[in-house]
Amino acid sequence: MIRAEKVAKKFGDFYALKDLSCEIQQGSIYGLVGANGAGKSTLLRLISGVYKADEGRILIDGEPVYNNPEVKGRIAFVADDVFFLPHSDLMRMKKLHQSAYPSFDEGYFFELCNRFKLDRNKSLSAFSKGMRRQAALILALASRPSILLMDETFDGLDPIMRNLIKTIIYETMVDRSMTVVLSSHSLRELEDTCDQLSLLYKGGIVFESDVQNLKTRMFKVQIAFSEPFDGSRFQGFELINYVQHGRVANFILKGDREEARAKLDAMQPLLLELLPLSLEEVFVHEMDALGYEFSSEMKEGV
Amino acid sequence: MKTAINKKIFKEQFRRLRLPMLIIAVAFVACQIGDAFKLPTRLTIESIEGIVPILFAFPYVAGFIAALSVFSVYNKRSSCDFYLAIPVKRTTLFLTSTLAVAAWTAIGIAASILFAAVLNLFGGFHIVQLAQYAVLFCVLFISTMLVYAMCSIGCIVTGRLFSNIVMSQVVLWLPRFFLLIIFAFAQSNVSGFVKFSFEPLNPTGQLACGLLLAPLQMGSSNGMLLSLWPYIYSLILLVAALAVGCILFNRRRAELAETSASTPRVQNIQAAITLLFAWMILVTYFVELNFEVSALISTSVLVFVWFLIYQSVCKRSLVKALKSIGWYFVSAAVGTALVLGARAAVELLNNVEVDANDIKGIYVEGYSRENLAFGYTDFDNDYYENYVMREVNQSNEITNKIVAEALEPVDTKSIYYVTYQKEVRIELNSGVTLYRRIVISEGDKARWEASLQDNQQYQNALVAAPDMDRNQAYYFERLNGASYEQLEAVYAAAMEENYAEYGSDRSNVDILISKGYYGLRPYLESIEITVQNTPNALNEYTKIRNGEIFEAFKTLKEPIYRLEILLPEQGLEIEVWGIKEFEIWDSKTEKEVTFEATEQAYFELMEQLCSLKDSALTGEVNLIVRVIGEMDYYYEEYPYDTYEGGLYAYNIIVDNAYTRASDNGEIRLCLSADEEEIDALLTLINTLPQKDWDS
Repeated sequence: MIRAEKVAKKFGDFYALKDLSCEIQQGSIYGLVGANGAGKSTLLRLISGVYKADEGRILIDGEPVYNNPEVKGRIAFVADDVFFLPHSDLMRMKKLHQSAYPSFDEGYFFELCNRFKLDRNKSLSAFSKGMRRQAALILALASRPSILLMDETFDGLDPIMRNLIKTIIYETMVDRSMTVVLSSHSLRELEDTCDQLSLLYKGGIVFESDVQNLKTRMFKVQIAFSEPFDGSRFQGFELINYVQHGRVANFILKGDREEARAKLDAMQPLLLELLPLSLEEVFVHEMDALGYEFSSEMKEGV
Repeated sequence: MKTAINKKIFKEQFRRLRLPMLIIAVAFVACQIGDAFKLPTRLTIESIEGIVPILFAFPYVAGFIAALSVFSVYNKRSSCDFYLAIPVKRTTLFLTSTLAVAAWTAIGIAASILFAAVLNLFGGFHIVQLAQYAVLFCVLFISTMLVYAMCSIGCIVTGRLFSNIVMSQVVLWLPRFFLLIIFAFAQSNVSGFVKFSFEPLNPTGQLACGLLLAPLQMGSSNGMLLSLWPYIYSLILLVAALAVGCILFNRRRAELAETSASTPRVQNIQAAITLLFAWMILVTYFVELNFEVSALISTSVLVFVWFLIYQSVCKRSLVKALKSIGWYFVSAAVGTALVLGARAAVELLNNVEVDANDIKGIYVEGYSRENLAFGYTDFDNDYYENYVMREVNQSNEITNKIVAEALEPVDTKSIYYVTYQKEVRIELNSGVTLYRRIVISEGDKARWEASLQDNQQYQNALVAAPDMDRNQAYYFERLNGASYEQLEAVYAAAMEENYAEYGSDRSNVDILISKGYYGLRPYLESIEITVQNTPNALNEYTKIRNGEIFEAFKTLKEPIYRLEILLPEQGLEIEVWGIKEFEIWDSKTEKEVTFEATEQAYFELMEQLCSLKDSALTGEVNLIVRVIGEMDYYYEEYPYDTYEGGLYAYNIIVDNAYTRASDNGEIRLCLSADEEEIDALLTLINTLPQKDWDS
């Protein structure tokens, strides 16, 4: 399990993370979503032991990670800007990873190279951006980590490669109960991959929930009555964003879907429809409810 | 993971460093290729630094480049993240990288030394050189690693290449630079320090910096390389620098990548430190040499420009650079305080009064025959007498008094040409050792020399040059072509007859230069082959050389421009200026008489000389002829074409005998003459009309 306890990280006078706490269960796929500068990469670097927290601590199975090779040996970090030795190929990088990670699996490395169809002896500087990310992922996975951290996971990858990566991640999780932490500025990318999602905003987690719960616990309601009514008719419901035109009302409802349906049916509406929300819409409405203001960039990303 | 060194990471680091380090190693070996075409001989036994002179730049190049190469990966965010994410302790990373640098350093130095050793094998090899190679390897290895360690500190505290370069040089040079300032103050007074008793404080007390400074101070670095203290101190410094580097590397934040300093304040402090070099020089000159105010202002402006450039580059903003201007003045204040403080401290230390009765030992740091006890500093192939001088205690009533009086502080600005000054080591009864430079008068010099003549320890040491191995190199200044076997008898006799006398004997036939080793230090021994002091050697010498020269001399038909006839026993020197005039100089009465010569008298004189006996056959030398072939342009008005005549004669002799001229183009011929023959010679000349210079 990964635990962050009131972690703060600042660069100069700027707090990239402040008072951040979270728990990532073993064997889960945890998504970090947020706009540029929200603190996703910083958190990943703290978890991987690259950065040292200025306040608070990061624990992996109860042990601090910073400058702790025993713990770091179980973590593989694929950064947003991947690094390879100059003039190297996959084979040379394999040697470097082998020297650093005792659990490096050479057979698995070759298998992954074949699946991704990457030339092991070709200079990595000749690879495209997407291929370089694939190469980095191969090396990370071949290290057989129990924690895989990926920053801007699917950046530069085509849909086929994204699916392949997802498949491989799932396989690994089934095999080895690996914990995966993915970051992205795009919720769509993480929606169908992650078990849990958290939204980072200005250095803190403002919203965290498992994906299934998010999708089912909030829904859109369209309801109409023959007689005039107003919002007070729906007291007792947790409403968000209530809009009424004449005798038709549209609102977002939080709560158990079936329970809500039963209660609304009991009001004998002329029209009742419960519609699911996309994850994006869930996040937007949740953030609105929390009173957070977004820049257009953030909304676009989410 | 708990070990200090990770073998696999070492292999990877070693491989990563191969490109820059191989280039450096190959470059240094390649620099020696020119020497391959002039194979050394036994005569070119070198000082330690002379084995591979270019290699003395290796520490600065290799150590610096290695530090930049190792730590440049932490300047880029992607590579920094990678290396700090892998499960290796930072201490392990640091030490493993350092070990890789050490391996390449050893390879580079060994390759160059091996190449030099191979070259030397062709030209003859002295067993001492093996030890010299070992010394060379040690000093270069320690120096390179020291440069690496200190530069790495500069690279660790900064996150960009530009500031890596600047700060690494600051860390490497600033401390020693400050010591040099102190040293300069100590030496600015004539009787001030010439070196500190605590060796590490001296410019050559630390190997890395001493390699550059030793030639400036000492003429060669042998003195430093064969002393123990520089090694001990440098090793201590190396370990300390590596420890500091390791600690700083452990504390280095990954976010330092792509920034010049961890915080704006640290950046400003670094910038201020880079200015200290300039401030220290500026203030020193201002204080010591009354630097003009205009020069001070213009230099300050230049320093300010550097400050702005450095800050602008590091902060990536001219506005931010200007906002930090206060640190420019802070740096000026600190630099001024350091210099003035050093000066005050040195003046305090220099004010030592010594009583003659407190002196128990006086050792002179250099010597040459021409300047008894007050000679020159140590050179690559120092004279043996200089080594002796440093180890012979010259303390006596006379010298103690001279030294005690000479220790009064004297302002160097008031002394322009000081001949009789020397650096001496003074040991006091209290156990204190002082290193001072003393200035003495002509009279005191004479008294000092006289006391040295009576110093039996010195006299005994002078004739006991170590390393009497026959295989050591030797040669004669005016002789070439003879083999070592032919000259061996001369050499053996000369070494046994070696004497301790001062001044040069004009009646010397040749000068034996021998080279040997005093421990690991090469020395020169120069022995004049003269009638009076080395008769046996002279006899052996003339057996080899004389006959052919005499035969060639007899064939001369044209007048020789100038020749000298030396009669050592009589103390007479007869100078023959072709057919123009003869001069007789009597060294006993110190009187000279000039005679008008004639052509007939000249050729009669030559006939008499040719009729004398060859010393090689008689074994007795009592007349020496110096044939001088060089044309002096003052005598162009001679009626004869003496230039051609002189050179002609000279060339005949050179061509016909395995001889060579000394620097002034003269050749010496040894002859035997009995009393009658000498009288006849003198009578011939004395009957000529004397030249009256007054008329």
